[in-house]
Amino acid sequence: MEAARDLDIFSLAAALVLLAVPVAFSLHLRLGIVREMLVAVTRMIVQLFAAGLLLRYLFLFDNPALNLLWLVVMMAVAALTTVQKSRLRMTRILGPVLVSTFGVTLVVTLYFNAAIVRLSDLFTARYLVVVGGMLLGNALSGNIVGLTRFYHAIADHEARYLHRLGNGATPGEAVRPFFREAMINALKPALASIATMGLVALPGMMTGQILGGSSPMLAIRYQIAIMMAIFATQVAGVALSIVLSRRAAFDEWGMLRRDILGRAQD
Amino acid sequence: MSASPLFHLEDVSVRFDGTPVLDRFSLAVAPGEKVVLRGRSGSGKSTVLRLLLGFLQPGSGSIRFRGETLVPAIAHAIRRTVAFVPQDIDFEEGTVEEVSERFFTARCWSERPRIEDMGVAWTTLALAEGIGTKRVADLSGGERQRVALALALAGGREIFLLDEPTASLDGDAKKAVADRFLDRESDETVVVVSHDEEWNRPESATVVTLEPVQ
Repeated sequence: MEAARDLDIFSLAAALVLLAVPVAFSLHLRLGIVREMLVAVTRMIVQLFAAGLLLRYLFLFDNPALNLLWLVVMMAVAALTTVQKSRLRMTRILGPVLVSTFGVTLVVTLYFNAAIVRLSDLFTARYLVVVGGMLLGNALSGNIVGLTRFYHAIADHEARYLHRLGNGATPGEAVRPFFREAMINALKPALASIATMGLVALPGMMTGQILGGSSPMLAIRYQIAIMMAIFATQVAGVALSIVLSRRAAFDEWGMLRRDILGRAQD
Repeated sequence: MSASPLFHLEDVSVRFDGTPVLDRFSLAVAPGEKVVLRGRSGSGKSTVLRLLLGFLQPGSGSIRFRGETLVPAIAHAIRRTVAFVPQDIDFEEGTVEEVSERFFTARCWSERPRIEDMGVAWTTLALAEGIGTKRVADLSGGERQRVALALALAGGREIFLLDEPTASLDGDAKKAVADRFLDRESDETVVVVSHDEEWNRPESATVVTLEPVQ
């Protein structure tokens, strides 16, 4: 199959014309988000071009240390974004979220490269950076939902937590219902996406591969593999983030430190 | 009573955001004693229970449990020893049976009461037949309170810390619950916070009236 057709500057301009649709709706309905939309799109364009430039050189040099360094940078940004969007106090929670994001994404990415794709060079840019980046993006969304639900639910339902704690549950046992609820909520989107994949949506990776010239059957096999990796990353990532951050979030009496709950930073 | 106190609060002061809630408050609760804490809203009644459970630490004064100063390890030991019914009953989702089963999953419950074994508690609290299959979200405030009391009784513990346990019950039920917990013949230790007159029984309990700190 031939590779995807080139998109020149006029093609991109034609794509940006589509932005007129949300802008028109926003103006007509007075949603007040036109500025936000334009800023977001501008950011996206700048970030993607910067990432593209960087990836070009990463692929060119294909140095394992450099590839890993880039992945670490992406993980740090993902961890920072997770904590900000979860409305939690950065100083207390960032460390555990960093460890969880880093550990889980790296392990699953290397497993993907070693056991699924069976690469001889596990740190090659084409797989380490691309697969790692995809897993990170999904770990990020799961972590945000999981951490937000967990800590804010305990704060909102303090009586429920204290009822269990006051009857002898250890803090770990007392938070179990909140943990379960947070996990379910964090994983629901991924589950829904897995269940409807191919029916209501053609996933990005598969579409990209087909456009890039791969056969649909190979693209499907990759899609199945990446979905499993995404699911594993999300489950382990959310669980580990909550478990690791708990020590910093509760005091020695088993009480939630109220200063952990920050303000919304959307 | 001659026995050394089970709980001993001595000159305890607590402030919330600078506002004094308890000022040099002292209380000794002997094993088997029934103590009823009464007083107006804001007089610090519930705060006393929070202090006993280690949910809150005093600004000054000392708290001891069986002679030992309250530190985190002692607080966890107290929580494994008592049955606590909070003022706000906020169960997670599910049926009464499911909620009850999950309530006893903590390791401290070596013998986990099963819902079918809770008959005595159900009867005492006049809970309707078949309540186990009802969703907690559909329970009335009174039913929710009775379920929380049934859980406390089913655990077989001998120390009860009850925060407004009959606020949502009607007159007869209030009396039945007060009768159950203020039985002078029982060895159970009970510290109850309540506005309800049914608990005001100086003949069978030590009634302590708290006044808001000026």
